[in-house]
Amino acid sequence: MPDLVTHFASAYILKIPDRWARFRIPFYLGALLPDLLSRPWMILYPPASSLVYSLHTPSMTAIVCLLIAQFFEENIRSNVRLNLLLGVALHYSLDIFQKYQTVGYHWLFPFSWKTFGLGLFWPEDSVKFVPLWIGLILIIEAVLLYRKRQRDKGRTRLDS
Amino acid sequence: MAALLIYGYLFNPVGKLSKCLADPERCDGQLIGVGTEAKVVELLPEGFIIQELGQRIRVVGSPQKASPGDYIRIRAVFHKEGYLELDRLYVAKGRRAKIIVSIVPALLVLFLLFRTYRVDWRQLLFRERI
Repeated sequence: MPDLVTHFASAYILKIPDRWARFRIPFYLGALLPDLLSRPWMILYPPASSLVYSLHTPSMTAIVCLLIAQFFEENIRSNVRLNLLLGVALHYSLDIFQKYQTVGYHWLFPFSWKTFGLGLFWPEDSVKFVPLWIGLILIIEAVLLYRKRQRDKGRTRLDS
Repeated sequence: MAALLIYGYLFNPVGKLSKCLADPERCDGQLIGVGTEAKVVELLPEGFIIQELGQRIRVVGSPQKASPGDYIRIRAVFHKEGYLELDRLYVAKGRRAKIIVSIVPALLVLFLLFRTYRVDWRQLLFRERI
């Protein structure tokens, strides 16, 4: 898996357009979810790895998304569910590019133990790009803030 | 979900160090992967010692650029005598940095979640803030 800054940045960039912004938080959460579910256990208590590794599979993450969505009010639940699932799909679409020493992720768990990956980079390689992602997000946020202020100024002028 | 977790735990066919150490005869000569938070513990003249999930094992082969404390991922042949014969090694130099930088977006998303939605504790529901 790439680091979570890379996962977050990819989700952030996809959710820049205003029309997609309303449910961006569930989308961000979905984009981090597979790692949030499994990695803390693996890092803090490595013997639990064999038990929790399946939480980093599409089927298990999808079940968790359906569960999480149930904790949102009914009128937004379906949109939250969809955005969580799309975020998860984005996460795995990045993970599929990474290299493995032996076997990769079990994408078809629990139906198959077959694994595959494109093997383009090691999981730690993405860390080099973290400053770039942070810089990009800050620039985009600054531009969006500037535009918002300009819009607000325009409105104030029209009102007066 | 619990059933799937247990299924994954019991039936994962991937060769793991812990499984091989528990049943060395069955794993003898098997190619296995070691890399779940595995660290180099000590360098030896003919190889090095690694620790994974609290278990230590000697690896025969060149540690390349790895030094004690480094996270590594290896592919190696398990021998029932209790050592590994190195096939491939990758030194995960940025692993610590990756873990540390990953904490920030996790906290940020949690912050944004609670800023965008308020929790109705009586019904245990997230509601949109208006």
